[in-house]
Amino acid sequence: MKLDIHPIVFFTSASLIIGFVVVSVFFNELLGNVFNPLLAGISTNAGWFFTLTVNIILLFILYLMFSQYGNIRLGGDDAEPDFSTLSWFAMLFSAGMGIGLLFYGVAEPMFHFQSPPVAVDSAAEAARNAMKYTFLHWGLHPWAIYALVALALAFFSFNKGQPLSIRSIFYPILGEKINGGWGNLIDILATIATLFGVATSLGFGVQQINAGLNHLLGIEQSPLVQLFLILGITTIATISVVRGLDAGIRKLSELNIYLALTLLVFVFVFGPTLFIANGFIENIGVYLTSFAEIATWNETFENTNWQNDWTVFYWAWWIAWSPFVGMFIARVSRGRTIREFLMGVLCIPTLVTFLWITVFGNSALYIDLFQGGTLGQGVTENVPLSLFLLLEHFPLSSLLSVLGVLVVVSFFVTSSDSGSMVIDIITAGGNPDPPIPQRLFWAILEGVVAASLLLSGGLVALQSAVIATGLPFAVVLLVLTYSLKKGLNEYTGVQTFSVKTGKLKARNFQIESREAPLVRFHKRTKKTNREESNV
Amino acid sequence: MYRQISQKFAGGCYYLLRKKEDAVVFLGTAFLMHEEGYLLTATYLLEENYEGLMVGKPSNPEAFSPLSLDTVQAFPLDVVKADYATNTALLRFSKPPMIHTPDHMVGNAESVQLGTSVLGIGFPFGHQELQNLGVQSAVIASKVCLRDRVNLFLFDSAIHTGMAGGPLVNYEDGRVIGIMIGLFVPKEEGGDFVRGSLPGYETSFSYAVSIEYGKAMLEDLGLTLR
Repeated sequence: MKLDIHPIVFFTSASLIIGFVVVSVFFNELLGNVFNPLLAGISTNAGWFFTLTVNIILLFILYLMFSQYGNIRLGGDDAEPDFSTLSWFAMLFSAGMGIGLLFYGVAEPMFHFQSPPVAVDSAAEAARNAMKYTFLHWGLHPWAIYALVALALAFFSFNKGQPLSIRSIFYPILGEKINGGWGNLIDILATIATLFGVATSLGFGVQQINAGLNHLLGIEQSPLVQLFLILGITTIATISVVRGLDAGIRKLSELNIYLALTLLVFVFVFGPTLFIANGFIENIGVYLTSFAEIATWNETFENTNWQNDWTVFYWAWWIAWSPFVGMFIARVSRGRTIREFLMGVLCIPTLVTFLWITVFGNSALYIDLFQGGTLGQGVTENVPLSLFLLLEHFPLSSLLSVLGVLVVVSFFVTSSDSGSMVIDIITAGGNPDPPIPQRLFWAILEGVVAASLLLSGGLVALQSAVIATGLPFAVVLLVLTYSLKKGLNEYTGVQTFSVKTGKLKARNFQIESREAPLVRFHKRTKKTNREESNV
Repeated sequence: MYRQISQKFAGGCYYLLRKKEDAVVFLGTAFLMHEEGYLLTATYLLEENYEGLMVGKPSNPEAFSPLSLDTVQAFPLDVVKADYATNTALLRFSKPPMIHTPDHMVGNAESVQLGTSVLGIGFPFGHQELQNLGVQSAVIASKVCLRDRVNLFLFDSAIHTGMAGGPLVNYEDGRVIGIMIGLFVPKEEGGDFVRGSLPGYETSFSYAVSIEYGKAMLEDLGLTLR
């Protein structure tokens, strides 16, 4: 059996993950007592820092997009994209946002509508604000975070010849040290954060799917059902990862987008179409006009802590997920110029996200605003059901809900398989196509970890732990902006040879003469070929 | 751009020497093509004698070099492969130092068009006591394929013998497209080419073999080119 592993990263990561899961199974209360207050403390005291960091990242990405660096092609001037633009977009969108949008596309606007972040005079103002803050949390900032990590990985890997691994993005700062202990540490942390991030999402996700199935078909909500769901999702994700990026993940991502698009079009056509169309334009306008204000808002004068559960939570969450999503986006983005890449990763997904949130969020708001509905109350009481509660108000609601479940499942599978692919690559020392046994190992471990945490009740604590890593990683991202700028500067300037002889000393020689031998091309014969091979 | 190309390749160009007791004789130019210490040059410079080969270079090509430099610092080399048919030789430092090469070194010889500006880099060593790195600009005058299917670039600049073995770099993308061989002086019979002048055959053209042969030699060793 042929393996291609980075032994230190692979075995240390696997051991730590298994060890941590064992501890969380037996001591999940203790972990909760540590990480939940830690997360609360971070949200309260470091919210301003997250706000500062995400804005710096967004400005930096916009600067790169319009600067001279935009012309650099990832993979060199001759590189061509591995995937069509549609496939590329489908994959990065499926990995980047995916499942969260399905629930929070409906739930978040309704939450903000029910409990406005700031005092408002009318329901219309509350609805407008609800969409504005939802756009803030799902808009340019998260995609800028992903774009930064993905761009750094793609650039240092495809243009600078470093392995496709998180350690590579620190090459301009750490130099050759990235191949030693520091680099191993960075990759181990990224592996653990990615696996726990995906596994906790998988654990929560099956609870949500189970809730949906219960609502639709009356299937009981039980650990056994959820275990079967994990088994099913992990099996499909494993098959997808084993089949590879093109035959597996790309096809699933495309299927995913088609299913989601069908749902979106149906809700748009059979929902309050005019209200949605008006809302799409207005929501973007309100978001843009108030952008500077809401993007820098820190509740300073209100002296409240609404942001802790929303804005700061999101910033920490996106940052904690950025190694995983960034790595995946980098893997599929070879051959595009930096400008194309940033337009593709920052602008287009943001617009599609806005469209999605408007179609589902505005539809939900319409029901409560103009049809006397109480969707807001139902949604806030049971977030996992939010999508299905909305779909109840549409014709063919049962069929639509089945489609909803399928979209949820397919988004989960694409998050799971892309997460496994990222871990495969990191633990294979940056090999973009790791051997199949390794792919199997990580995909299955992901399911096992999710199942163990689900049964032991350690999901919440572990999710808090993952999000808490957002704070140190925010610092890392700021360092990364410097590192990437330095690398790009060196790349666009004249590159030269560097030859370090070290202890190898040259000898001094007198120059005796110069020779001017005749040049003569030999005809290629068997004899010359033999001479050649005998050298 | 010429200045940038010169800067890019200056650190990778060496004068090729042969050790004779405690002295060396100058053979031509060789240039680095891989971080594992591989260099390319023109095979004929080796004169079918692979003993005592060395390379050296001035400490700072940008500085005014003294006219009477009578000693050089040099490192020993091994010949990895020498192809007389294509006049391409692959050399390697006997003890490779730590090398970092620029990105995008190797160009595409096929896509080079007539009239493309090029820069030749090498050591016109000994010419009026000149010991330092030199560059010569030219345009691609012709693309020629020998009877033995060896692809050559002709360029409209008469290079000094010491430049032979140096890289010919495409002005447009700063990548190596050939290895300079010498003046282009075709004999009437046979289709061979000789360096030097024969009455009636003088041109101001020089020529280089396509880099594809050097590239193939490196790839045969399983090396990836940047």
